[in-house]
Amino acid sequence: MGNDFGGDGAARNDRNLTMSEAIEPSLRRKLWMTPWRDLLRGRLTLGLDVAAQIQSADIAENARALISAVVRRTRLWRSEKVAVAEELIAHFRDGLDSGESINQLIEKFGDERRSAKLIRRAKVRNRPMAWRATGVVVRFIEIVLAVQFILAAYFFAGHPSPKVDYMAQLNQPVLAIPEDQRAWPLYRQAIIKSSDYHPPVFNNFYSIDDFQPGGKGWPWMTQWLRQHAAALELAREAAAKPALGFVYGSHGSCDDPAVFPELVSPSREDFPVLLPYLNKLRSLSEVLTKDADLARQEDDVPRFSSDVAAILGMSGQLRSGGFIICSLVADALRWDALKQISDVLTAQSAWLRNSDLQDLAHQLSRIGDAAETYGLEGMRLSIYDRVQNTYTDDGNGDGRLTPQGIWPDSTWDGIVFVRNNAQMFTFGPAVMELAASRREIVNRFDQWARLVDSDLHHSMRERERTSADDFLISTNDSDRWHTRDHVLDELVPGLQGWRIQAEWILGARDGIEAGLAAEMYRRRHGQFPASLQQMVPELLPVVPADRITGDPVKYRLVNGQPIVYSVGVDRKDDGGRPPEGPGGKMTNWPAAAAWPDPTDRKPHKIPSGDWILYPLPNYDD
Amino acid sequence: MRIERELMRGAGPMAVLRLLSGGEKYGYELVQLLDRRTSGVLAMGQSTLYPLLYNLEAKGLIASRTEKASNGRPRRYYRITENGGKRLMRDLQQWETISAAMGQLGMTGT
Repeated sequence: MGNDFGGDGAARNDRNLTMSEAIEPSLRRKLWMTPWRDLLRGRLTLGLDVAAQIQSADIAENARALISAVVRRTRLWRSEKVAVAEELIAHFRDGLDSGESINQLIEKFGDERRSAKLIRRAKVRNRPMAWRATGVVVRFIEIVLAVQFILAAYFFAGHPSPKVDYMAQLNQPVLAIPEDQRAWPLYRQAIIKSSDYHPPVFNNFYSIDDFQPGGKGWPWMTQWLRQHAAALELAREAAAKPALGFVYGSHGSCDDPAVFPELVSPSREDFPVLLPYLNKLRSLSEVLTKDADLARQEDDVPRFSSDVAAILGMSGQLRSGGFIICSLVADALRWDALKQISDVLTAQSAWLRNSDLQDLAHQLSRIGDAAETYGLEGMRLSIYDRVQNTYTDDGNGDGRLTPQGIWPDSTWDGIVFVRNNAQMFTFGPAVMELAASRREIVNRFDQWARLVDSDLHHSMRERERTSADDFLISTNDSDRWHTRDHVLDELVPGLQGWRIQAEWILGARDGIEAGLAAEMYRRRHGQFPASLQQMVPELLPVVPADRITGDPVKYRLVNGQPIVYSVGVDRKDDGGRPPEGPGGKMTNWPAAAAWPDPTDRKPHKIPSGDWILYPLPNYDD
Repeated sequence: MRIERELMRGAGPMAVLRLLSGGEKYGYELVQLLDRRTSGVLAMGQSTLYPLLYNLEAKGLIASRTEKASNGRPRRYYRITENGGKRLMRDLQQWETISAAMGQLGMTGT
């Protein structure tokens, strides 16, 4: 339609005639210009061809041009334009019929642009509710997207600028130890020499129980132990050193393919500090425990004592880094050593000389209280390092979370719903807004660490609820806080669990100390004492306190053998009977010493029964 | 006399509703009536009238229908709705109140 608005001004009364006189529109244009309603009826009406409609109007060219300009400026739907054009044409026609001239009508028309603007605004208001609602939604989305883009730009512009070498701080005390006082070089040799320690699996399931004396794997174990006596000797020698001496960091002691062939050094000096030695030392301690079993079988008391001493020595060395995970492993090692002492006292006491008993008592005295066992120095430095590598730095100790703090990396699993760039764009800015600031994170960690230190200087008896856990619960007990403190949430564990574990160790230590004293008493007096008090102070400095009640621990002779026990968290003396587990079996952990965990949302059932401190039960039975 | 736009914004719709309360009318007819019956004070061109009509229609105060006129051309007729009638009554009451208040201030026309 080349001359849509350029007619000659002649009156044309028959629209169909005009159309036929003009260039015949193509089928495509006919389809495009016909309303759906007419198309469905099989008619090509060109009802939406507003240009043709105006052109065919029997009014002057200047009036058609005005109407055309107004209609075009409205930017309405085609059907709306047709209606407006029809009405304006009719208006001009009515005016002409009333005797007004076309120029008068044009003069009265008003401003063309303003008219188009007002007509559009009014017509849009007339559109269906669904369309207007969609418009509102679209505008809302546009605003949200605009805000999102601005926040995303702000978010992605943030970069961490680490300034402090916390790894060097962590390694400072390690490197200050003279080389000949470091245990790791010897452990390293022991690990290399025992690298073929791969116990066979029975019934598709590895169980350490298979390698107890008499178990299916015991022949394999004894053979392996005899073949690796040199490695064990190196381990014992290492355990006697005052410090572990493991240099942390990807370029430290773990940069040793002979010991850690599975490790791939990260590009960044990540601060999970790489504690691969934990598994290695745990395996060595397992081997030493088995060797203690073998030493008992072979009546080799000195080797038995050396093995127990080595396990306890190793556990003490693990404390040095100041990482909770190391302390937890150290506790597991202590438990192994305590179990060895308890077992040998109850099953082979005659085998031990008096000097051996004194030696074992000395070993027990090396087990310190919780505050000596658990440290947070390494954790503190790792948190600080994590913060400086994931937050911006405003120079005043504060900053905001950066994308580096959200992506999963070798140190943590990241935010669970951010796994790709689209998710990072979508959620990253919101996480940044929700997350605690750099200063908040550091302050909260420091506050938590002070509370942990305070808690660890009190036994569970003195402070059953841990203020450190209460602190975490008070601020973390909602999804919002979960996101807000994601760094702490990921890296800071609840304290109650390890305090309870420490109490188990200390209770067992106290019980075995009393058991050792009772054995010494028997040797002097021909029978076990009737009470623990009888041995004070000659063989026992003081009757140990029940770690739950603070009263003296209970002591009884059952079948002529002494047992030492705490009344348990039910605070009721059950005569030395442990809680019964499902099916009447003894529970596989000291259930009677299970303090309520404030982080546990389920109601805690107080177990009925006593906590046996000596002899240590076989909890795995 | 030219009426300020703000005053016209309030008076225009009320005037149109008042005219439509007498029966349905088409656009040019309304223009003529407004011009004649207000001595040109409330006269409005197409650029004002049609947006005003579309707005009233959007608010449900008037309704329209298209019918072929005697000359064979389509023509749109507007009529006041029930809501439009109520609105007109309310506006008239307010107008009278304002007019009375103005009178008390000695601002009545002479």
